[in-house]
Amino acid sequence: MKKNDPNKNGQGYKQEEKYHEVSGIRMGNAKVPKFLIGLYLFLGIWAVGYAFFATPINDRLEASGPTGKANAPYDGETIVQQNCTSCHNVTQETLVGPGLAGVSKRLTDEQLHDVLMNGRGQMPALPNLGLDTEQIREVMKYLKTL
Amino acid sequence: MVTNEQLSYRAIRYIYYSAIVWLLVGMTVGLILSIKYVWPDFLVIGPLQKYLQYGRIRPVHTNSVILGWLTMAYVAGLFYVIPKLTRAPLAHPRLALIVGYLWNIFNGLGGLTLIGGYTTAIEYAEYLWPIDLVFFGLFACVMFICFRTISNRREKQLYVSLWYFMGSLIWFPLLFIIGNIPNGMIGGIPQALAAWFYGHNVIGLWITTVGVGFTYYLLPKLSKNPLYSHKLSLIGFWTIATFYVWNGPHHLQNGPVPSWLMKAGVIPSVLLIIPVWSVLANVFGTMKGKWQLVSHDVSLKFLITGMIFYLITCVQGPFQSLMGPSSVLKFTNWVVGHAHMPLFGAFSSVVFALIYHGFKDFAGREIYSKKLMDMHYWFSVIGFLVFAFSTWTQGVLQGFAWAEGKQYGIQFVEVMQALRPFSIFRSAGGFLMFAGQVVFAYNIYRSAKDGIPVEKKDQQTA
Amino acid sequence: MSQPRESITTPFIIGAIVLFTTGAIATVLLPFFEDTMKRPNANAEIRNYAADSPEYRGRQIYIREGCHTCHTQFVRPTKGDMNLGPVSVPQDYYYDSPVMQGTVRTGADLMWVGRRTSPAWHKAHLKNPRDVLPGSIMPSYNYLTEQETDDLIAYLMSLKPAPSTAGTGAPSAPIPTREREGDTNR
Repeated sequence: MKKNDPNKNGQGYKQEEKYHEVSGIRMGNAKVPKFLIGLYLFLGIWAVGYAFFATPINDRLEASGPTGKANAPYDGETIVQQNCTSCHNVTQETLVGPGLAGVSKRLTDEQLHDVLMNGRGQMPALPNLGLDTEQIREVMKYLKTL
Repeated sequence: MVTNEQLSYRAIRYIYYSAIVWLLVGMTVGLILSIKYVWPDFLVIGPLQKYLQYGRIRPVHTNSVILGWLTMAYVAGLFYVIPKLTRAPLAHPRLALIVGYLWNIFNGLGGLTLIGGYTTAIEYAEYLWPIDLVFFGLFACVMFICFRTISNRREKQLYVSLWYFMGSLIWFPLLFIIGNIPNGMIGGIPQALAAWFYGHNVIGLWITTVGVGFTYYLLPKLSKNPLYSHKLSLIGFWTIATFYVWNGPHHLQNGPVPSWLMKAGVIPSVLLIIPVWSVLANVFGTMKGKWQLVSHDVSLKFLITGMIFYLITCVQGPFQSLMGPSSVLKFTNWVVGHAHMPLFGAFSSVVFALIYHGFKDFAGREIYSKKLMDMHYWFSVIGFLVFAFSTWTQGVLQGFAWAEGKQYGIQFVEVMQALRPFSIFRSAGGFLMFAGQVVFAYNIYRSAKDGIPVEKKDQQTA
Repeated sequence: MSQPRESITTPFIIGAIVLFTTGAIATVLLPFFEDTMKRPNANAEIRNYAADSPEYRGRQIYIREGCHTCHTQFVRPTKGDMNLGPVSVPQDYYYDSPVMQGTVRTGADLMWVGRRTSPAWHKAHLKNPRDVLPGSIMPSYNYLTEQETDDLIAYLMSLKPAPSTAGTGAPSAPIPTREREGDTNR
């Protein structure tokens, strides 16, 4: 509870009247450093810029509007990559389902279309995956090239 | 005849020692959690499987370190520092002691209900409302004692620390109410926002602000320099009070919140750099010419380390609140590492400094062993660095792996397996941190029992 | 030389309360009045469980066992959440109390887990996760009773988008083909 004796503790600080003492603690009156003032200004400008110009992230192609499909991929290869390759290899090797290479030789156009539209066994129907008619047509086209 | 000072020191001792016990409890649970992260079948023995199940004890860890260890230690710290700054005796020291007793019961009760599976499921506010009410009552007593002491003050001028203490004592109960509105009365995204308002600000407007108050008290005492700039401390206080409150929404970054709200959360999060750098400029300005003291004085070593971790926390925080970084780092272990930094790295260190500094006063004895103090310091800091860097690395790896599409099923598990070496490091770091606290607890125990008694006339604060 | 003059507590107390209240109103109170948070959508209706339905009891078990400490229910429009199903919107959570968005993905996101899994898969997975997903660090829940397990599975299976979510704010996303998560192993 004793007051600190400023003369005893203030080594190197001769001008004691420079400090205002509260509860035995001396407080200096140094000015705010220049770099901090610069920082305050910079952050202030950034904040205004951010408030007006920042736009939310949207990496979802299909989440861009109420219709949801505006930017969805319409390229067969991409659709297959995104939707099918977790169960099917694009080669002949079997993964979960059979390999896709040569599928158009094993099935007629009609049969292939039927599998895509209605699924088979474990495989879900493509429309249930959220793909529309045109996308399914693209998938067909791509599968025939394999 | 028992003097007021003796009574208040008794209360302070009791609360500090209890806090240390809760620190050990909380960290033991933390350690179990980190081991379960590596070996999920760790401690899956009989009934322990159910009661020490990961999802049940994780909130035990967070609650016992936040409300058990840090908040209790803060209360003891307030009871110690406020009378020093006001030159008034602590008001109602007997009540202070009772608060300590009941606080232990509160912690124990809370922990047991969580283990039993009774939880609100709101992170950091897991305790059920009857337990919240107990806490609220206890905190009201703490407020009463502190404000009575301040209004009895014999030093007219209010020192910086007291501004922070008054602010925090007002903010915390208000926060606590908003964060603990019972389920059923509130739900959906508004509940998430209220919960994060609490979850973020319990760090920002209680842990941080009281801790900074302690720092402003300790720094001139330990460095024996005058406080660098009164103006900076004013800027620091008012800007933190302005910006911190707004930070909740950044926890829902890129999520289901309107974009005005997201901006209202992110901008103040970044502007927090202002108070943090102002406080740090004040700290470094005050230390000028006294850096050599750091190597001799463990208290000062802890204090400065704490402030450096505080600086790092508040460089990380604004960064990861931004949309881009958040899209990668959110939900990963990066955030786990980040959350430990203010609580352990920064403000636990400040509390360690305060306990070591004040021990002579409130216990009337010297610290038993300086060697053990040093061990405590190095174990804590090295352990924490190992822990933090492994979680941060994990976080970055997870974030990018998920962006590649490994978001569930066996692919997700493969990512977790790739993180395993880091999880082992994390446990090792955690073990070192824990070992440090065991050393600390032992040292305090020995000091309280057979530390050299301090002669009354030598009893100086400096 | 300026003399600091902080000798009365009132300005600090009033200032602290005013600044606090401003932030609280803006970030906690105003969202209540957001249109998106005021009404449920079809997804939320699925999650509006009748008291004592299996799904409701399952949700209580989900809470009791702390599943939310490791699993989020929160899908963002970011690369990291691309395969997780529709992006979550405020309406989805309308009936969610406590809201269980979660903070850490120690396990995978469960927002729409019912869509990509089957009850049989969950049954095996909850009994011993490592049978289904080798290397998983999820605890096994073999101590739950049969009834509790079934309730929990009912809850998990209810976590799926409504058949038609068009126009209600939940953009549709391509559903990955995996019928069962374990199948992607080989």
